Amino acid sequence: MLSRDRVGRPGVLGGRPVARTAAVAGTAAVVTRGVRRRGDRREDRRDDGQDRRDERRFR
Amino acid sequence: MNDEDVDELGPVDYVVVEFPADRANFSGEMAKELSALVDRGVVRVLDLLILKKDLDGSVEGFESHEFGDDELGELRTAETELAMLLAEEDVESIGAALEPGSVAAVLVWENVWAAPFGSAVRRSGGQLVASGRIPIQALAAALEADVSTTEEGV
Repeated sequence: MLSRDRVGRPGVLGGRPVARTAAVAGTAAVVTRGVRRRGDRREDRRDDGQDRRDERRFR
Repeated sequence: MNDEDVDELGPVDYVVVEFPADRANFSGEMAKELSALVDRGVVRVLDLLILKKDLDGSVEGFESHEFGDDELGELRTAETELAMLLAEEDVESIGAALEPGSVAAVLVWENVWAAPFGSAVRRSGGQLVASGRIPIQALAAALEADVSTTEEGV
């Protein structure tokens, strides 16, 4: 049974029915892999930029 | 929770985790992970309720202390932090999302980790103008599009 402290006062969720979240089973792993892959490419670009800066410096 | 607490409060989120009535299990791994987050000061549990939705669609709410240690396990250790934020009206709102014949845990927590950053923003004269959560489906779609573009060599 709910505590009496919860009765007769406004809620914090806006008073509308809460929308059900779509199932995401299996998606999280895909996203994690994708984010990692994108992170790797960013790292590669950073390395390329550093290489070009080094080349210019030693030219 | 007083005005000073609210001023120092991090963002507050909630989740509703639903189980078929015959497979409800609030102890074990789930409780352990949550307790670890509490212990590390990442989150502070503000409310915890158990809801049951009967096959006829009626919804009943239960306080965490109505359940035994076996059922709620380590979640009970967070009970002292409960601020009892949710009202009966919220139970009705959440109940609308539940499948008939299911049991759900409703957890409200403060993202404690974000509070110092929020204070720093305010002290620096900044203010929050927008925040939100990006649906994981949208992330998947963006990454999928990224892969397609890469494969096409665009």
